Order: sequence, then structure tokens, then C-alpha cells
Amino acid sequence: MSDEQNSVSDLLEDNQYKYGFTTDVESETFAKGLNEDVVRAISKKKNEPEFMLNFRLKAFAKWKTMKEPAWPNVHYPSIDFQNISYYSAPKKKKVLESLDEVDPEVMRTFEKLGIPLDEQKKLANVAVDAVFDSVSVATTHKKKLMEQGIIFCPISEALQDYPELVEEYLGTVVPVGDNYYAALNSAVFTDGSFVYIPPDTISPMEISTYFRINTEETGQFERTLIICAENSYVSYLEGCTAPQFDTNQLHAAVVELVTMDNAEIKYSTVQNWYAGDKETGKGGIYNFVTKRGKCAGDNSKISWTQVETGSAITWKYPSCILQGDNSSGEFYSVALTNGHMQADTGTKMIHIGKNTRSSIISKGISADHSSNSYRGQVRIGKNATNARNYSQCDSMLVGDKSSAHTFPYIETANSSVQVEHEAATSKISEDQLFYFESRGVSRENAIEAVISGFCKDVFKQLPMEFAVEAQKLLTLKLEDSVG
Amino acid sequence: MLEIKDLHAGVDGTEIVKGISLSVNKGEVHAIMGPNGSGKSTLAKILSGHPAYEATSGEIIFDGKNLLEMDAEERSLAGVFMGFQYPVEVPGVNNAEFLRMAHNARRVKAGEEEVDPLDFDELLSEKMKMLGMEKKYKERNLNDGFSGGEKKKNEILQMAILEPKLSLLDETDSGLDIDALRIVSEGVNKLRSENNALILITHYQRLLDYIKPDFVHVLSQGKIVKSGDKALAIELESQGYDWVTTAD
Amino acid sequence: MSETIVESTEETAFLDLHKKFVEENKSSSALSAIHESALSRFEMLGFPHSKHEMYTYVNTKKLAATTFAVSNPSAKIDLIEKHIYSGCENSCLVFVNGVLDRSLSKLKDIESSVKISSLEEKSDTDTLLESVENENDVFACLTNAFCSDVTVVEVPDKGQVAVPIQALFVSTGNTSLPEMHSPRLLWKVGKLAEVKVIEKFVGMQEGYFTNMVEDWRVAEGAGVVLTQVQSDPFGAWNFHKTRVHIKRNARFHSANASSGSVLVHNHFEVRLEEEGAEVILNGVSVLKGKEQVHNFIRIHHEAPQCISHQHFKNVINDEGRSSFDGTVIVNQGAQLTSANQLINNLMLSDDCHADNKPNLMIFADDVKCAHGATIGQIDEDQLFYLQTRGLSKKFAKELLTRSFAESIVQTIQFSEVVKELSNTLLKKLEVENV
Repeated sequence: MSDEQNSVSDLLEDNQYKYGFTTDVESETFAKGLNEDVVRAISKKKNEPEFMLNFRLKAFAKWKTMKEPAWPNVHYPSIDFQNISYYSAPKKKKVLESLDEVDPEVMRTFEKLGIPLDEQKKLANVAVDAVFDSVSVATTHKKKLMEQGIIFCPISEALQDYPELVEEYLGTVVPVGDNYYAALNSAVFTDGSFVYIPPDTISPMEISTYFRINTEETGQFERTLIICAENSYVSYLEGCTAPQFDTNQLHAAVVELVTMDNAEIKYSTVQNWYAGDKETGKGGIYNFVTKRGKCAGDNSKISWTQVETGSAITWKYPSCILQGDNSSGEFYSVALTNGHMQADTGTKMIHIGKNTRSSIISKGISADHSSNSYRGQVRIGKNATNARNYSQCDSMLVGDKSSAHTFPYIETANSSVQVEHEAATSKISEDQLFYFESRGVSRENAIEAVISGFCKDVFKQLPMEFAVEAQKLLTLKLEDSVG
Repeated sequence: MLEIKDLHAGVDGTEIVKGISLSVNKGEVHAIMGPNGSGKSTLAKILSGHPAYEATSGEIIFDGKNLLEMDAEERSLAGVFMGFQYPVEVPGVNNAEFLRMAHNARRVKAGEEEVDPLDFDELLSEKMKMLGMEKKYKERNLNDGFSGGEKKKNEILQMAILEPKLSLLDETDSGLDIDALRIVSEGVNKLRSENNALILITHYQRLLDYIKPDFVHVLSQGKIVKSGDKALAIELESQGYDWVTTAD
Repeated sequence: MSETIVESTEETAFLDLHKKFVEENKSSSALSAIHESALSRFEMLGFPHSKHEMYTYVNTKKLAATTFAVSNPSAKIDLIEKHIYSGCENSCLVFVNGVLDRSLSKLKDIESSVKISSLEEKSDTDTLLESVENENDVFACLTNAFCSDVTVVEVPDKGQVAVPIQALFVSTGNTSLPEMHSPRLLWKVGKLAEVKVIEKFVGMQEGYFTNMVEDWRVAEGAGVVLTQVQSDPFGAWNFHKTRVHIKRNARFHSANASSGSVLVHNHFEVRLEEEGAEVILNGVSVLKGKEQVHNFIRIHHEAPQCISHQHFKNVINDEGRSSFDGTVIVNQGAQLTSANQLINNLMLSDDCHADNKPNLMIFADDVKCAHGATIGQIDEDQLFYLQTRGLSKKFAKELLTRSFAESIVQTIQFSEVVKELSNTLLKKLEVENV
């Protein structure tokens, strides 16, 4: 009997990475390497306004003086930034008028990923921007959104059509020299999504971006900027996949969110980049992302929800600057690592305004040889009177080769604050699984039940469509290895 | 229904059960009693299929099938129910949802359709009403933060949902105050029928005041040293185990 | 990194001071070896820069830039009796300016059960050298480089020390040229031995830097109860590293009460090396004015079935500043570990500051680890409740603040110390504007 019994970690074995195909499209790719000319060339290629070029050059100058951060609890050989191509786009001759003109291969890729871009077959109530390598290839529902004054387009297009909006906000939340990867992104980003919700507007549908890295040895540097004006609301979804390569690919994105008075942005991510070979740890995405939101207005709110299941290395801290009085920030995270994955992820809640609130719920699951770290900072400034924070970060360990770490930083500088932090570890124990089995419930169902129970505080924050997808994704990582 | 033949078993290479034979038929209630360390709990673990315990020789035949070749899941689906002495806590998994999973696993095995949460809730409410259980058992997580008595009640609720042919209740009375013991026993009695059988494993006679056994077996040093009817249990209570174990 | 730092003036000043120290003090060869090793370690590490891992929340710039004289052990002191706890009158080690003063020490009650010596045995030197070479706290390196002696206190196997041992650290202080004192101790507690120790730090005036390192080797089945009482004057720095190695089924229970000063830094490095080892670290601080207390803790669970508990409470008023940086590391294979860590901060003013980093690093799957940190104020509901019972607001506040800190003080096993802290540490809470 015991011979047939899989150990818990066997049961969590990854199955084949479902999105590991590449698409054969003709693409235009810059030669590898990075210098000022490359930065200028990207800007020129995109026909950008003057301020944008200056922004890039400033960032590049800053980046050259900076060092890769060494503090995260992750280990990888140093990256040769001259061995990366900084621009790759599906070849196209002219501006696309409709989806029919998108390379059919690209369209098929997104179909394979389960993202119908064809408006006939569109997802019921989700507007999608699809980013292929560095370039946005299709944006759906634009017209419908525009009827309410909502701008949803590739950021390259926003730079042409609404340059003053971009200029006003770009880099205000993540300054060009914020950190090494943000500086690099600011210098070389090629595309991403731009969303502007005008005052007094509730977005009639979820807005969504799907990212796809296709070309080997291309970095993906997308830039997202979302502005939610007074009394407005938007829910934004982001999904990511990449093909399987033996070499590591770099994904260094920057996401900036701004909320005005009484506005709310809900930003959800399901990240499933290729994580590298399960046995050898070879290949996979280096996901070094800077995500930050600024609650600029009073009573505004930013909520981050992430389900991180992929990437060889994740380095990501979606954060909130709570500047407006009574503003609030939330961070809900599930990070599953298996194989040889390493994740160092968490959040920063910077309380500046009065009566600001933040809450952090983080669930880390580590299996196999993986390492999973939560790193979170709660900083309460001198003027942030009556600020409140509640943090809970729990870890679940599967197998005795994995590790789980918790690194909270709690910094308070006034006396009217209340901060509570809790953390605990648990495991999927053989005793628990035996109990399920003795009631006739199979091991795989038992594992699924325990895992989804562990994560449910986070899943319930996700929009319905994404919650289903996230649950599926975690199950996918766990099933197949059973039996 | 159940036939144990000269069973030897133990854990980590130490033999604890040293030749037990026992036959249980439909409709019967057997009580297995004995002092601490007599092998009661090892016998229970072996019957439930706990992976840490190993049968070294002998046979256990259940409904004509070799129980020792089945894992815990198969035994459960075949109709064997184990009421644990220390039910494990599973935080994050809702109790009602768990019961539905277990119930559906059995239905799937029987070639029936799974029941949805609404229909199951009806069934669950009915069983809970029968056992006099409060609604909170539905809302809480599986045994999570339950008191000892609540856990035992929850075991009986599972027994009611799964409708096993053979139930083993391991020290179900331990940790229960007299009121809880009465409620749990009444529940068990309601679930008794001509078609199922019950094995009670207990240290004390008091459970047997509420659930009347047809047979009482006394275990000592891994063997059944005496069998009899209810009167034996009463004698044990008044005279202590020394009386039988030394008389052997 | 190290090259540039060594060239900066702060480190150079200490290197020069060390030259002088070596000239003036004749050391045994064993001690010289420790000094040498420590000094090169110091040069390698250098003083903390602003983002230093161990000193993230502690600003040591001013300390590093201060010109010190090395300690003067022959200074005259008087009136030490009032610092000796009742019950320890004949079991008291007195350190003057960091050096054991045999004439002031009273050892009658422990002569037969405890051996007190300077560094003599080669095995002790080897033990110390190993810890000196691996020292990662730059200030502890300074202690190792500047200690004029190592006091070895040994409780033999099965030794039962009937009375608590007090180690009293008295500094004379010098406001015009502050002195650096480097007490260095090695405690060896034999198998199944039991010992209770109270360490107390006092100063006769301001103007000194007590920079202490103590090693504890707790053998199988042994039990240690340690209480540390820091009550230096405001203008004195106190850095204190306690390194503990605990063997099978041994227990180390400690409580630290810090009254704070311009800068107090308590560093605990605990290694639970064998199955069943147990450590309890409690701490309490009450800060006023510009007082600071910083706790830095690393607990390594290296074997299965070990237990660690930490509970630290800080009451911070005025411009006080406190930090807690604690990490529990559970090694691979350290199954069935049970680790708890709880930090509670009570902030009483708008200018006070509390930083907390309670970390867990877990490499084993069958463990029970939890940590919690809270930062808050007096509970308004409790305050209101007490007022409805006729207590003045001021008194009610004092009562609640006091009870917050008292719960840690009460864990101290010496009634004399508890009594004293009630009149000193907890007394600090009786202020008009609590």
C-alpha cells in the first residue's frame, strides 16, 4: 500500500507547461545590446513626442549609474544586459484599422491562450489589450468604452493621441530612477496599456491586458499607466504567459496607478510565465516588476490582487502610496512556487495621509526545491495620524526541500497608529490526507481542498472570471502528477 | 461481514497485535475493551488502513474482500467507517463542503450522480436534525478549533452521511462529558440497523451503558483473552482489568 | 566594499587606538591571538553604513565618530553595594570598567560550585577563536579586539548553584574623554547543571561605551536562567551581544530589561544545536526623552524538536526610539520545531518611533512557527471603563501602561530584580503626560 502512495510533493508535481509554444511570425527585432542610440531608436521608431525621448534618456543616464539590487532572497547568474534585444515587434507595414489586419498567426496564439480577441466571440464583459512581445497588437471594446469617455489603448497610441495626459502622469508614481529595473524599463519600454477613467465614471466592464513573450532573447519591458479620476472606478486584469526556452528571458515591467478623490482601482494579476525546467531549473522568465499605485486623492482606494504561479524568479512588490486622507490600500497575494522557482514578493504600504488604512493578506505555497519569500513594508509617517494596518502572511510548505520566508518591515513614527502583523506556517500533512482518504476522498481532491481553503481569502478578491482561472491554474500545477 | 483471522500487526517493526481472531456479522455490536497498551488502538489503525501500521501476518476479510490489500480510500468506499480518537484539524476546508466531497465520492463509486450543494444541504440538515446538532457545524472548517466533544459529534455526523456497513469507533467516549456522551451515543443508536455492524473500541464501560453491545471482547497484550456479553463489561468495571488479564 | 571603508577615518581611529591598547597592555599569547583575529575581522566588516543589514534601524554614525580612550580598570569606585541584589552578597562578580575586579568581587557562596578563571584552557581559546573568526557584528569584533581579559565562568557537570550569581558591570565614566569598556565573558554550563545569573549595568557618570560580548555554552540537560538589567545613565552607550549554544534538552531562559540611553543595542545569537533544546527570550524597555533601545535577534533551529519563544514589549514616549529585528531560522531537517515571536509596542507620543522586522526563514516542512507584531496605543475602551469606575484619566493611563510593561517584568524569576524594576523602570511611566 505505502509503495503506491505518492509523497505530497510528488502530488504537487508540475505538469507540462501548457503555454510553452512559440509562434512563427515575422518580427522586426533590434540587434542585441543597449546604448543611447538604441534608446533613441526605440523612441524614433514609435514616433514619440520630445518629452518622451527626454524621459527615456534621463532614465538611461540614471540606469547606467545604478547597480542590480542584491537584497532580494533570490539567486541567479548576473544578467548580461548587452545580450538582450530591446525591441521586437510583429512586422507590420501600417497602422492597423481593425483586428482583421493583425497577423493571423498572432491571433491564433491568443486563441490558443484562450483569449478571444475577435469581438464577435468576445468575452462577455471584458475589454482586452493584447501585448505580443513588446507591442500591443489588439485592443477590444475601445469604442464602447469611449462612449463613456474611457480611454483604453496601447500606451504607444496614447503618446500620439493624448500626449499631455501621459506627460502629466508618467513617472509620477515610479520615478525614472526608482530602482534598477524601473530605470531600465523607463529607458527602453516599447508598449503597454493606457487607461484613463474620466470623473464620475464606473467602468462598464473589466479591462484586461494579456502579455505574451514570444521571441527568445528578447526582454519584455511594458509600461502600464492607469488614471482613475474623481469618483470613478475600474477593475483591471492582467494575465501573462511565455513560451518555453532554455535561456532566461527578462520581463521588467512598470505599472503606475493613480487615483483621485473617491476613486478606486482594483488591479488583478494572474501570472503564469514559464518557470523553467522543473528538474534542472533551466530557462524561465525573470520577472522583475515594479508596480505601484498612488492614492493621490482623499478617500481613494487601490487594491492589488495577485496570483503568482510562474516565472523562474519573481521580484515584485505591488505597493500603495496612501497620500490622500482616508485613502486605503489592499494587497492580496497567492504565490505558488515549485520546481526550482524562487519568489521574493510582497508589498509596501506607505502611509502619508491621515486616517489611511491598509491591509495585506499574503499566502505563500512552496513545494519541491523552491524558495518563497514574503517581503512587506508598512511605513507610517509622522503625519499619518490614526493610520491602521493589518497584515497576515501565511506560508504552506510541501515537502522538506522547499523553504518559506517572511520578512516584514514595520516602521512607525507617530503614536496614533495601529499596526498588527501575524504570520503562521502550516503544511499539508500526511495525517490530513489520510483523514480525507479514510472518508473516501482521493488524495488529489484532498490536496486541492486544502490548498484552495488556504487561498480562499485571496481568491474571493478576484473578479469572477479570474477567480475561476486562478483556481484552474493552481489545480493545473497540482493535478496530473497525481496517480 | 468482517472476519479477522490470526492477525499480527505493529508499528516500526514492533509487534503489538499478536494473533487476534474476530468475526462480526450484520446487525451486531461488538465492544473491544482493554487496558492501555493492550493493542486496541493498533487494531483500530490497522482496520482503518493507516499507512504507518503494518499487518505482518493474518487476514482481514470484509464482504469477501481482503481488506489489508485496500488503501484507506478504498476501504471507505467499500463501506468501512473509522471514527477517530483524535480527528485531525483541517483549517481552510469547510466542513459541509468536505462532507459533500466524501458523500459524492461514494456516489460516484456507486455509479450515481454527484449531488449539488443545495441538494446536499437538505440531506445534511436532515442528518444534523436527527443528531441534534447546531447549524454551526456547517459553517465551520473541518474540525478546526473544535472542542474534543465537537470533534466526536462531527465524526458521528460523518458516519450518518456516509452510511457505512461497518463502523469502528475508536475511543469515541474519551474526552466527552456525560451530556456529550449521551448525545453521541443516541446518534450512534439511531444509525444502527440490521444491515450494519458496529465495533466499539473503548477503555471504559460507560459508553456501553448507552450503546448496548452484543459481544464484549477483552484485549490484553495483543490478544483477546476473554469474550462474553454485556455482563462481562460490567464485571470489568467493578473488578478492573487485572481480573481477566491475570486470570488468563 | 571593505577596502574603501577601512580608509575612512572612523575605522582608522579605532585601529590607532588598538595600537595604543596593545602597547599598554601585556596580553597572553592566547588573548593576543583573539585580538589579532578580531581586529582583522573588524577591518573587513567596517562600521555600518546606512543600509547595513544588522543596523538597518540603528544609527551608529555618532558612536563610530567618537574618540574613545581605552578603559581604565584601576579607577577608584565606591558605593557599589547598593547595586548588589540581596541574596547575591556573596555571589557577585564585579567588573570595573569592563574588567573583573577580584578584590571587589564576593564569591564565598559559589566558590565550591563555580570555577572562575581567566582564559587558560586551550579548548576555551579554540572555542572563542572560532566565534571571533565568524563574528558578523562589527561592534562585537571591537570587544574581541579590545578585551583585556576573558572571564571564564564554569559550572561543572551536574553542578547546582544554590544562589543566583550576579555580574555587576560598573563604569566610572569620563565626560571629557569617554572610555570604551569591553567586558568579555565565557559561560560554560556542564551537563545537567543549573545556574541563575543576573547581569546588571550601571555607571557612576556619563561618558562611556560598554561594549560587551558573552558566550554561553549550555551542555546537555542543563538549565540557565539569565536576567539582564541595563540601567546606564543617558550619555552612555551600551552594546551587548549574547551568543548562546544550547545542546540536547537544555534550557536557556532569559529576560532583558532595558532602560535605554543615547544608544542601547542588544544582540542575541542563539543556536539550538541538538534535539529538545529550548530558548525563551523576553525583553522589556521603557523609553523617555531621546532614549533608544534596539534589539537584534537571530535564533537558529538546527535540530528537530527544539522550542523558541520570544516576547518583547516596548513602551515609547517623547522622542524615544526602539527597534526589533528578529529572525527565526529553521534549518532543513529541524522538523517539529516550535517557534513563536511576539513584539508589542505601546506608543505614547507623536514623536516616538518604532521599527519592527520580525522575520521567519523556514527550510523544514513540519514546523509550527508564528510571529506577531503590534503597534498601538492605550485601549480607549479600557481607559473609559476604568474612568467609569472612578479612576482619574491620568491614573487609569498609568495603570494600563504599567500593566502592559509589567507582564514581561513579572516573568523575571528574581523577586529582588522585579522589586527594583518596579521602582526604576516602571517608575518612568509615572509622568504627568502619559
